[in-house]
Amino acid sequence: MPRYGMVIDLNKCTECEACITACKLENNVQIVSKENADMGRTMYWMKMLSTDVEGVYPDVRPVNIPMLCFQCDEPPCTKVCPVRATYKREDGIVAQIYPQCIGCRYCMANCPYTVKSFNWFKDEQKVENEKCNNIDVSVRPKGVVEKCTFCIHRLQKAKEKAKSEHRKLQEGDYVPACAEVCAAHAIYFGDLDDPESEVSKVKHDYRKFTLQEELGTKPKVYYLSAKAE
Amino acid sequence: MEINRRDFMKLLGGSLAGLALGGAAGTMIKLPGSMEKVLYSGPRIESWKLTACTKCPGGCSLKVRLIDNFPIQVSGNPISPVNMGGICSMGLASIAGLYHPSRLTGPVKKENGKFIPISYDEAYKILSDELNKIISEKKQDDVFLIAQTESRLRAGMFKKFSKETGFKNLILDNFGMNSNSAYNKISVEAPDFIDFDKCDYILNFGSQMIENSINPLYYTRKLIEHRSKGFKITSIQPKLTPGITKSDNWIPLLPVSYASLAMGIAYILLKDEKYDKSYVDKYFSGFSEFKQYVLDNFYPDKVEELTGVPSDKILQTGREFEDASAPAAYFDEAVLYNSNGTYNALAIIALNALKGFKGFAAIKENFLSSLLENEKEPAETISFVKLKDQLTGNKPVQVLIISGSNFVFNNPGQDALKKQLSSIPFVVSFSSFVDETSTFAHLIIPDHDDFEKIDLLSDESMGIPVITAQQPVVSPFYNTIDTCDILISLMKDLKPGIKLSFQNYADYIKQAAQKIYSGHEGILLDQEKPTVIEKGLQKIGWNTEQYTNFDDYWDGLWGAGGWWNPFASKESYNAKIDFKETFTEGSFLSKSPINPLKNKKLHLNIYKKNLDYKGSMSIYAVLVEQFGSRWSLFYQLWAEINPDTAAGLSATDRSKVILRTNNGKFPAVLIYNPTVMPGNIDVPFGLGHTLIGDNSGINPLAYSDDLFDKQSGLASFSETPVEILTVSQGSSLSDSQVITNEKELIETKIRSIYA
Repeated sequence: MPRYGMVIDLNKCTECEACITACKLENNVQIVSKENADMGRTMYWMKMLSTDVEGVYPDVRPVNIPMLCFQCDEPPCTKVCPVRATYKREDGIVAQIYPQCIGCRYCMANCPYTVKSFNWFKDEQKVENEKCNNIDVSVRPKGVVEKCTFCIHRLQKAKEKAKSEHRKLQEGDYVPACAEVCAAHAIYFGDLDDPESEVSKVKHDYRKFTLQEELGTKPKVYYLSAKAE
Repeated sequence: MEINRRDFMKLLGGSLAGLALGGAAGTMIKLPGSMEKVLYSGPRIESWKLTACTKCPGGCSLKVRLIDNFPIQVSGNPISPVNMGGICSMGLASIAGLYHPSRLTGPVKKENGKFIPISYDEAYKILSDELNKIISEKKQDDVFLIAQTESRLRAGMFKKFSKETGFKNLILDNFGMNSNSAYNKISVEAPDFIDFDKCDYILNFGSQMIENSINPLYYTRKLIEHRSKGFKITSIQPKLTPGITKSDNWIPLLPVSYASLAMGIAYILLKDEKYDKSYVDKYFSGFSEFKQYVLDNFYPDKVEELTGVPSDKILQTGREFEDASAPAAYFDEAVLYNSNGTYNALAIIALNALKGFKGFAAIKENFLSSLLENEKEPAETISFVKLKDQLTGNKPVQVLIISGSNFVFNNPGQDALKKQLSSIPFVVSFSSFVDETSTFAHLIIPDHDDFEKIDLLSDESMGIPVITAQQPVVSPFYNTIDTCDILISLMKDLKPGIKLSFQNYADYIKQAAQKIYSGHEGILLDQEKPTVIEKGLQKIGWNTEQYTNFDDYWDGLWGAGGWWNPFASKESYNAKIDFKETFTEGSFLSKSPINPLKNKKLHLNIYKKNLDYKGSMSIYAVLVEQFGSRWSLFYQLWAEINPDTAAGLSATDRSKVILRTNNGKFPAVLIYNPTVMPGNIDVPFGLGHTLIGDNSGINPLAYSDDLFDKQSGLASFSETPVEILTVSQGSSLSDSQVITNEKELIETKIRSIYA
């Protein structure tokens, strides 16, 4: 069984934010209205986390990272879900069952990375975006929590395609939208347990780090430091 | 699913039938009922088509996903050498434009201040009658055309129209042409590309190479590769944009001073005698005068005084440039966005000439030049400033023809421009929307959406000729027409007896394709790279065509999404430079920047983000929402300021402020950003539309000084003095800690959000 994970090379990442747009459109993530945004309600499965600036002007460098659900091997969110609406699959993806979610938001509260969003309102996409909705992904109803799924619907499609071609799933068959669109090829994705996969090779780069591992969450999204090179 | 020739002709037939039928302009708010029905209740059959993105000059190849023949999603074509599967936010968002409820569904004319739908025939008659009247009165000089297009073939069609009809006042806003305008001034052709095989140092003057440039996705890959080889990039820019952070060095500088700095670096090369003497002797006319001029005027201390860049930094940069074996001082259109623009470009050209343009190259026997022969046609273009001068001087402008340009939004001096536009007797626009510019039109004949259009987009910036095919992935939804088809019809009507070798724009495209075919070079874009056998055959002079006749080639072109010639060879770029007349004009000595301490005024530096290209973002809701997400500011304008500058002005982080320029006051949220040049207030360009798409935020250009680079006609984005008028306390963020460890820095932020 594969164990899917991701490595983001911050040295390559140009912060162009195409991954964020791709994620939003691929997963029919709601575009929040001005009124709701003013109240601090945003909906992003992937976002650019702006932190601070290193160095002294003019030799400065802002530190920004693309952030998504880390698909933890020890996910704190699943442990508190009273209805098992969020759970860890065998392939390591932390999945969501939207119809099962009761909207208690315990999982949001327990996620140390703050990557989950809550649907406060009925989906009200603009008409032009509604017409471009991805038919592979359900639109979440009001009152449920949502987050990045590593574009799990793509895995399903890739499996079906491989099956129809009488072959096993190969590396590159299944790639989330963010990794697919990255012009800098800064996002590596694949089976972390396959020693031959690119993602498992780059995972061993000396620049690797994960965030808040002292919490024991064992994230499966790794970063390669931009600074160390 | 690839489109074959028959399908393509069907599509084309459909569009022409729509044109012939005319009339029946529907409502402006929804799709035709039959389309709605299929869209919501079809069998959900998936297909894919290839087309090209026209949202910026890059011309990326797109894979469009269709469900029941309706496009719903785009992704990058992994085979294309331009984007190699990558795609930017604009490209991703572009599909929604097709379904935008504000799209005009057919021609409209203005009556009593309101637009009313009319038939295409009526619209065309109004336009041709008006132009015929002008011709009969011999007032062609009173007609102005302004077109913004990134397609060189379309630009060529505008030139042809201008030449054939005698409407000589053509303003073409095209990234490539703008970028090369300084080379045209000294009558040489620009180099085709940065030769990344040789180039070991890039000195980037003002270009947002991986954000807004001639080929952003290609440069993204190449600059990462360039740095991984250990080569340096130094960027000279007023703003440390995300793309510029990928440079090794950043020299903060206002664009008006680029010329002075380039000359200051030239001084180092001349003083150290580390310039390419053989190149200079052969190709640099007026070199001794140039040398004397630079040595007299641009010694490091003087340049420091002019630019504010420390003399040791100038010395260091000059030494890096002179020590590189193949350096490239790079610039593009962005260098022109100030009142000294063309002189900036000329100074940078001179700097490159001193090193023999070693970092650049040209494509040998460039095949695209024959394809784009209209580009070389003698029709002259004029700058936007000439139109402004004509209007300001109360000289007659009888007719204004606008295509693809929302110049009222994209330029300063908007109030005057609006008044002047109102006084033009006849304005026709080909905009798909009623925007800030087309609202002044008397007649709008809407163009197709990009996904309904046909074109061939060409690119040379990668050192090989590439053609990306833009095929209509869907029949036109509404009663719209390709603007170039109107131009062709007008040429026939206004100049009876004219002999055109094409009947419509699709025909024109086909002829261009025939030229590529008859060259018997290159291969279709259906493979990532040529095979070993193909390379071998090419080496011994055999061709590697995968087709036996033009029809096969034509079908293949659309099926593969384009053509390229990976076997093209390159040659050194050896342009003859003559600076005898140019440098004596004295404009390389740029203006002194405003002293913020002296009069409490700052520079309003308007910068472009990669989510917007020439003010086109507002119709894409996903981009508007994302615009300020980095600062957690949504649907509103922000102003970034260096905390040190802010401290002197008693303005707090995240507070709401009023900014005042000579042209009025506007609100913004103040953001402390230690990367901002002291003395600058950085504000993003893109928000503040009033008529098209999302109307939130403010357009800072509406408050900017009416300054332009007179030669190129591009507006200044960074020379307006601004002051912070009132400051109301907002919710302040906690003081940032000085943490140098990257990981800790990020985690601190996460914890603060979590808390």
